[in-house]
Amino acid sequence: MPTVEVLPSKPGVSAGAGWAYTTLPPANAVSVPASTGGRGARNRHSNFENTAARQRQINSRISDLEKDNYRDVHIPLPKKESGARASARSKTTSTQNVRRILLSQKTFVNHLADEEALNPTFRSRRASTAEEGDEMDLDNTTPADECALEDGESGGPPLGYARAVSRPSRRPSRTFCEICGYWGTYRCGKCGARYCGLECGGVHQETRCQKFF
Amino acid sequence: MPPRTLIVDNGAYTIKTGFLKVIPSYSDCHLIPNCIARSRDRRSLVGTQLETCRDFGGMAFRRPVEKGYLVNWEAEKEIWDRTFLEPESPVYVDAPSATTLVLTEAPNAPLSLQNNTDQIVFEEYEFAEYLRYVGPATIPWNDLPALFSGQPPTPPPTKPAEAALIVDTGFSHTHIYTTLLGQPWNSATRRIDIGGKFLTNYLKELVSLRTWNMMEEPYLISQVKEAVCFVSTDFSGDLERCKRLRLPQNPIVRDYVLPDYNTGKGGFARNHIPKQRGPAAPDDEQVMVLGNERFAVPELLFNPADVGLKQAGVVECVLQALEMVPERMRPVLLANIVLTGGNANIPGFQQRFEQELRPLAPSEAAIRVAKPHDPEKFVWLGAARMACDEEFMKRRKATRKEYMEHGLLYCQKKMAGEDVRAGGEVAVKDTATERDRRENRTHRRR
Ligand SMILES: [Zn+2]
Ligand SMILES: [Zn+2]
Repeated sequence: MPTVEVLPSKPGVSAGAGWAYTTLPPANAVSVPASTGGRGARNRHSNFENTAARQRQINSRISDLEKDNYRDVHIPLPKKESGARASARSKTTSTQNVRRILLSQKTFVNHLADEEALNPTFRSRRASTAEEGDEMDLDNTTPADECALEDGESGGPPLGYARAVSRPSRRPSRTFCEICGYWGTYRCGKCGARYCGLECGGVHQETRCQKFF
Repeated sequence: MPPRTLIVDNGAYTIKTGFLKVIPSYSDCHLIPNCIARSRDRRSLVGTQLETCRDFGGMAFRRPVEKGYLVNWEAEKEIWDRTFLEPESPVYVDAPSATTLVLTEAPNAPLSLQNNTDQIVFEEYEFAEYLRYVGPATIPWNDLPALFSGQPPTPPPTKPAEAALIVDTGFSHTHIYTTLLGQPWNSATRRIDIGGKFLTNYLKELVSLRTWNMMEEPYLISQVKEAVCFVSTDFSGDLERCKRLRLPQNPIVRDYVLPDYNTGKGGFARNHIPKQRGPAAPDDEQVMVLGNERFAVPELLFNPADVGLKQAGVVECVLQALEMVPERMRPVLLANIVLTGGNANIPGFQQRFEQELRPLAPSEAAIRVAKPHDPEKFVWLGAARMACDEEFMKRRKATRKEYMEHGLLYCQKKMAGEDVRAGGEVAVKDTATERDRRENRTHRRR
């Protein structure tokens, strides 16, 4: 029997005033399978979403979803053609600046770090910890009406990359069954994966479960 | 002789580029894949060479634009050289030294990347004149009043639109970008780290977990995405429908017949044919069945938290942006919302956007949302029309001569509209005209 846990419909996460979408998963709509997790396990698991381990899981998945290729591959430039065409196209000499730029292997993250070292106000003060919750980033939430308005009216200089990022959503979060994509009402007590019911839970246990604890 | 002007919207997925004509139109804009692709037989395909390829199986991509910003010039130069310096190219630049380059960048680009780009443009390509400008900031030069009223655009030059709230959703990310009197309102810029690539990878992850292992097939999956995905206007309802109904009656489920690279037969989407239903489906075809993935994937644009990303979706971000704008400006922005970028083309995007925004906005506010005919090329078109604004261009563009004489910083200040050493009077005049325009506008408001 898999270790399962029904997630309580959390009090206090009702949608904020005026929000149109309150698509909470039907938390207790399904009969409760027996839990063999015991009290200790249950407490441990109900905090699972806020653990650093869970946050690492999420971060690693997000960085996978941002990749250009599934595997890291090096794709070299095609070999230089010889003869007239190649020489018509490429200059024989480049400036020192250009040579330096072409040889640079810096990634975007490197450039961003340089920028923030030079100009600390561009840095987001938001800590990227799991406990961060919905705490607002004060950097970009100064209400507009306190900014300079009439005289030389403007929205100020560019915010910089880190401070321009969206604040977290105010909506309650949703979870989905990893097997079929329906609401993820249950959570695997071993690895934290979500599933919708007994059938998908069984498939998960047999084929997918990556024991986490 | 007036120099030719080349407009380049240098996107992560495609370069949108073409020469400026008297009346710019979408048809002058070419789409060049901004990548070096590597096929499984280990050939490297640069830019448009990708179009000659018939086998996209296992193809890998190197993209010079990372997270929406031009990072790798080694690869970009290879693509630019073939695009702009080869006589066969439709955008062949025969004489950069007699050409003005207008180049777009994403908002909030790191300075070191801007430095690199500016140096390459002046020192390697030796363009005569150059203006680097934030992509969505060119949108107000489009004829937005005509767009909202469904009229054909007035030929340029026109002055920038009074107000625009731009939702620019591209390959790397999505921006909410606000302009008033053509000027960006920088504090209201918001970025969501969800774009077309993220959606493709999410679809790839879902189908690989559920049906076919497609982890090495980003090209195919992006085609599947374009063929079947839509934004739901009733997310929980559609999720229920997918769960409760057995396949044959399910109105959402679709088949994607996978391409056969051996025979050259392309992939395509069709209504679902159940396997056991006899001869309708040929036996040898391989079919990917898609259900709730069709709408759960683009849903990320509205709910990034569905994959654990601690960011708000496009509509919530519009409200975050509006908070940063003076209250009296908010109504005019809500009435001038423009959707651009490739994801704006996903069926249902505009309907869902309007549906979510309406109840969140003040009930007396008029909301107008427009999607241009070609959202992918709309920034290019805006940049082209901006280039027709001679007075603006004269103020902002930097010349190679200025670069040689006054250096990089001078040119960057000029392009950013800041005071420059030798041209203090430019800035003064600027403020005066701006103030006039503002005052006119304020009177109209009241
Ligand atoms: Zn399920
Ligand atoms: Zn598990």
